[in-house]
Amino acid sequence: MQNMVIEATNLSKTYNPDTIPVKAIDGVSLKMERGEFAALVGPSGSGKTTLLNLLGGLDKPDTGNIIVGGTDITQLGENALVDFRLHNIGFIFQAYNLIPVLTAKENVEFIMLLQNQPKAQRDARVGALLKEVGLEDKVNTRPLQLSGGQQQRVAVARALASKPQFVLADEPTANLDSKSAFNLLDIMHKLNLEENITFIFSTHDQRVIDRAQRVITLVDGRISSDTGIIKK
Amino acid sequence: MRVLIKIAWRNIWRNSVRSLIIITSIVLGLWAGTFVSAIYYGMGEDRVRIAIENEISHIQIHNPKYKDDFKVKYAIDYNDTMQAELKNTPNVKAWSARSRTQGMITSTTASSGVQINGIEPAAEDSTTHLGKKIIEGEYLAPGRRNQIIVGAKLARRLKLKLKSKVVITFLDKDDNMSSAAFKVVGIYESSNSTWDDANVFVKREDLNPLLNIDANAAHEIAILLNTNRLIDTTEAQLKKDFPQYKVESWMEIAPEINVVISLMGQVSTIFVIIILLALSFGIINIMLMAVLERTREIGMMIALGMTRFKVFQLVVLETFFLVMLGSPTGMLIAYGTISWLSVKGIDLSSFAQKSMASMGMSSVIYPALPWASYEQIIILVMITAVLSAVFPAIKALRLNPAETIKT
Repeated sequence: MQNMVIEATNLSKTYNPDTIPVKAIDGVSLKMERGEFAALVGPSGSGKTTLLNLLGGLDKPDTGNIIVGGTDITQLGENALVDFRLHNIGFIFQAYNLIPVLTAKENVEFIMLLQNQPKAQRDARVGALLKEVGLEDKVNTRPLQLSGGQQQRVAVARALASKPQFVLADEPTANLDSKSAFNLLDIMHKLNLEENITFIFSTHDQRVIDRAQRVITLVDGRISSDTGIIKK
Repeated sequence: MRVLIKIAWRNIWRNSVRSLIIITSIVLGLWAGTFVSAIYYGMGEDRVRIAIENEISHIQIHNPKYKDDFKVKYAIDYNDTMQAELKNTPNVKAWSARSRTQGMITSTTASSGVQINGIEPAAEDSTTHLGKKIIEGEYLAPGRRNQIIVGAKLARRLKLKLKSKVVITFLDKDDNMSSAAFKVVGIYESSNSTWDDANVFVKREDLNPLLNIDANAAHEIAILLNTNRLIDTTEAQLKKDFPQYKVESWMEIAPEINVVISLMGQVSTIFVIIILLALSFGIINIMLMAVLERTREIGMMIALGMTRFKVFQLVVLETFFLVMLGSPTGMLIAYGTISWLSVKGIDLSSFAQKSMASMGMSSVIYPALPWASYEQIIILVMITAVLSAVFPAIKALRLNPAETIKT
């Protein structure tokens, strides 16, 4: 059980319960181990993003529990949840979502600054991560001067900066061309193996699905299939 | 905090045109507010200066009963001992002993109620510079008897010219009617036309016998000091030296002037507050735009683990930077303008001389502002900055990261 990173039990989430109820997640239970590289797939509106938001503590389920590293995040208050996310969860967004006024280095460093990590530690970690994602020559470049693929690589480095328990990625390759998408997947997989950090990503992209160790398929807010860990 | 400062600073330059517009409006608003305050303050100071230098002086001494009903019999014994004591009182620059009564002045065409001041010409000139205000004719000269000088406004009303004969009528010490003919030798004009209309000057040596009082008697000693700062100490000293008399500073003698000054101060503060209020709506608008076009970015920051308090701090910092970029520039320009015009003056004589004079003010305004007022404006600006940030910051705080990231 120590290897278990996420244990979600009987999650459900309904939007607009008082007007036109939309059941986004309906009785989902899920367990994930440390170091998994899992894809969450399904048609549009199947609840992938909602499930990621629930697992990431960005939204609260109507019912059910989510235990991350032994902490039930559904029971945490607003500030405790923010702090929990800061120290335990990394996020990669479809639209990169870097802070445009900060350089690549500063964007990666941002979370570590919020954590009040010492400068030497920050410098070492940021330098190593930017090198891992192949952007050591773009350290002082701002996001708008980077390509989409490069921005998403900075986002990957940022997600890993605080050595989280797991990284949630919502359609990380959706805005990238094939070459950039493969490149990003290679980097994510490499870091997944090197840092033993769990990656969960929602995707429609078959190229991404093919690389996943485990594929969880959602339909109408329910898990319709789960391959389990099929590749190591 | 350093990362917040870095982000806030860079954020305000993301849309530099927009930021420069609001900074410019802050500069102009503060300059206008500070400058108008300085004009009001300068006018107030000018009124006090005119009142002290021309009318009241810093301190006055009266018989304690004189001001109850201004009876001629309640005089001061202005003897050699008193003069010697005044001479030896530190900080006293000059003084003038005046015999005074209310009466009527009658020309060949009209008459008017006036205050008749019996003065020693040299002492009065040293104290109120009356001699320098003569615009026609000459000042009271020693030797010749029953000379009178009148204000320009009164001269116009009574159609008086130099050498015109007038009769002044009043009650003497025993409430008997007394009158005498005087010859106009000079017409004066001060910065206060109302004062000029109501005051005529004769020599004390001519007036005292008509009032049936001793040659040494006087109703008022007006004392001019070397500086305003020494009023309290000198007043205390004089009270000690002349316990039998009433010693009062100009603030006690003419409290209405203090009220006017205080009112001007309040009006200028209200003016500054109105300007800052208008500015604050501009700032709120700009900051609200900045927050609303960055909802996804702010939501992302919250998602990554930035507390809502830090988001609040970020918006407040951005607002603070905007205001603090404009404020020192506005204050500096205002300080420069005020310093320059405090020497050069703003000359309103071509269109406002009469109205200014009727209020006892000079037609040349010298703007001035004490440091305390600059500090007060700076504090008001800071409060404006923080208050202007609150509404946009609350908007930012209410963002739901799950919602905003999707957009």
